[in-house]
Amino acid sequence: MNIDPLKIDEICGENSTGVEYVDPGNDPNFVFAKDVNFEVLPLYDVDGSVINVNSWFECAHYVTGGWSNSLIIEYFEGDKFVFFLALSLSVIYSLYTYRSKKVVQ
Amino acid sequence: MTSTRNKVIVFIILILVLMPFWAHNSSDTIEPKRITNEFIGYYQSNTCEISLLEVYAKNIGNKNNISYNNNYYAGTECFGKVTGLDKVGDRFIVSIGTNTSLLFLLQSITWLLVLLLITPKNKKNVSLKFATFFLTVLFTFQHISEARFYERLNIYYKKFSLDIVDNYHFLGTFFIYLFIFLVIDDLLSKREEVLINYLPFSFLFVFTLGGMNINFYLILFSYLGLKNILKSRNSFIFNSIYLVFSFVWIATANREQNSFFDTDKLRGFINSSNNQSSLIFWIIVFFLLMNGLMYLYKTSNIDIFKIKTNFLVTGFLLFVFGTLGSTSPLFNFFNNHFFGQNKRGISNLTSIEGNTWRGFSASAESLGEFYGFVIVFFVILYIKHKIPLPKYEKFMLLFVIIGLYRTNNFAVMSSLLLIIFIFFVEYSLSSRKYKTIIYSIGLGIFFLGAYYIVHNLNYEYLSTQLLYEASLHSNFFTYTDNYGKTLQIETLFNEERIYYLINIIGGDSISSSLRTLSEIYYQKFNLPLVPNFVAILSTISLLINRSEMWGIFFAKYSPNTFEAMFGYGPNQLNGYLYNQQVRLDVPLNKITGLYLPHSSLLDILVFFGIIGFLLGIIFIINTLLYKSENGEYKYLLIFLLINILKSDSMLYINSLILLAISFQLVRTKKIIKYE
Repeated sequence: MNIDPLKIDEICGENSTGVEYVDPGNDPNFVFAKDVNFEVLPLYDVDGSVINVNSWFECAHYVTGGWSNSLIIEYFEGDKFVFFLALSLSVIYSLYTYRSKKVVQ
Repeated sequence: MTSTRNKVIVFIILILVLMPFWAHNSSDTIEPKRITNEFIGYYQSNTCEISLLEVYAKNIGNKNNISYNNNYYAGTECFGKVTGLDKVGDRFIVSIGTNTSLLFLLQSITWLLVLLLITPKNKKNVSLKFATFFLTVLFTFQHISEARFYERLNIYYKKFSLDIVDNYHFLGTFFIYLFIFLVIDDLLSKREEVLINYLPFSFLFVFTLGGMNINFYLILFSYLGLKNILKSRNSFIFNSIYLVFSFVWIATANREQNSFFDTDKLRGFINSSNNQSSLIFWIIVFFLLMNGLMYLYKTSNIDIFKIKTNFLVTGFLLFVFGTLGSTSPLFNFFNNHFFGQNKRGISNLTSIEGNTWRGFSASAESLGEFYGFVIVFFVILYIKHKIPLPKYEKFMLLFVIIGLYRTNNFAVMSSLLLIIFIFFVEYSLSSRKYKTIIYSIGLGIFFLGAYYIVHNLNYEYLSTQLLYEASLHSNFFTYTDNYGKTLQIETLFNEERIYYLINIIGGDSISSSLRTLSEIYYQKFNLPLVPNFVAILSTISLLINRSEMWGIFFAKYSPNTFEAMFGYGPNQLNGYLYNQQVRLDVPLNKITGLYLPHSSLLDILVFFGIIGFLLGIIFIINTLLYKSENGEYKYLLIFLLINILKSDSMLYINSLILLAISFQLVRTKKIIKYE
């Protein structure tokens, strides 16, 4: 798992508890302790699922697992990109050949 | 001037090929890691972030077995980047995103730039202008007709509907084709006279578009084919016959079975889907291809020096890139990407099961034929036209010979020696008497050998081996396993109850071709001294080590009357592969393999039926006996024809182009430039 401190700070805010984030692993008995000073924060995954986190530690854990505070999923519209690229190339090439033929004439 | 221009083009090509696999976000914290068991999860969770060249650079010196595979399905944002890492056995397979749509555009631009390297020669530039629109529509139509193929390989694929405005995938495909044809119209019309001299490169630049079932040569030749039709240079006889065939194919096509062929190593030049619209697409494309080859025949000016050098350079580079691809996974990846291989090159230097080394090529047989062709070509030029070989060409020829040796193609090697020997006798000996003696000795040895084989192997065994093999792979005795089936078939063959086995026990559950063969074998009339057709075919199949493969062919090939007469249609293998239920008697790990007919003549039979097959034979005989303008090149043609008898080379577009070059050399009335 890749821990990105900058991303965690950005989403979860500053770590005011002083407890450093370490991966709790796959322990099924692990329970995230609620931090009363932490304002409940909703996080979303790529499928749009939502979870409310109650502590900075819990937030850091979910962010490291790929969850985000934003539902706006970065989706690159590749089909549109290819279409506009091909369209532009066709138009530019047509104009170029049209112009070269005029110059020759 | 030309040299500077070419350098600029090569530079742009390099940028186009390498940049997409280098581009990455250098400001992020996601770094490439050494590929080990420990980091499999890392690569699986950090997808579309690390570029191929980053990973490669990080893993220089890594002793683990790593290979880079294409992931055509991934989106454009993942292009050139790692989309996953898996471990299969001891091999780490890194998936690299190469989205089909973007790859189509990139490869097309790259290959158009490669064509731009050909110096233009045409005096007049005849453009097709708006007719190219038809080709654009035709090729875009393939994405509808072969939907089952394309939807697996492109995340953006959307089923075609009338709401076309929102379907950017189709619109994108349409405009890429439009762009290609606009450029081709300009680029090819200035080079069509000299294009033939560069066609030897078709073995290096295979030009199969990644993630697509289309070959770039089909696009090029379709353009030339349309030109042939529109500019009244069409061949009336061929086109009329083809029209009749097309009518039969479309009217009688049996498309009840919804089969799908993943195209395997034939990708780019075979129909993947068993439906009417894809049949129509391939009928038109094949028609344009043939017209394109005819157009080339009429317009080309062969420069023997140029074509000779290009054959040699291609042979040399095939060996070099084949070896590089075998030793380096990165080269293996880029060979596939840049040259457009229809199947990845071999990934190690050792031969397959001590047999063949296909290196760069999808087929060791077609590669061997190419190497053999180059050697015969050089012998002809050296003996007949006294064209000497400069030192660097001798050096390259050496690699061609090594390449041939490594393909371990016995048929090519033996036919090569035979053809060279006959050519040497014909063109170096002037005495008719000596020639007669040599040929008499040769024929004597042949007949003695034939007698020896028949005497030792027994006529009964030779004449029925093909029926035996076909029976082994047919759907007999379904209540027992393959071993039980073999025992029962063997018993019936030993008791000479073959007709009973095939026609009574087999009945309708076996292929129509096997039933026909048994009927011919047991025909009621007997012409004295004329051997039975099936017996001859069976003996030939044994002598050239094809009895098992042809046996499988006859077990599978089950056409109805129309299909037998006219074939399934061009590039249609679905009917042959899936219509007849068989039970192959092969090891379990090979049971799902692709079993092609293993003879181009049988391929022609599948595509064009008995009538098409006979017309093809008539065309060949006519060429060899009456239309030969340059007799020395007949040896090239015969060499190829002998070899395609036992290989599927005609299913590869580059081998078809090679055959077309041979016909061109034999038939052309234009003066071939020797100086």
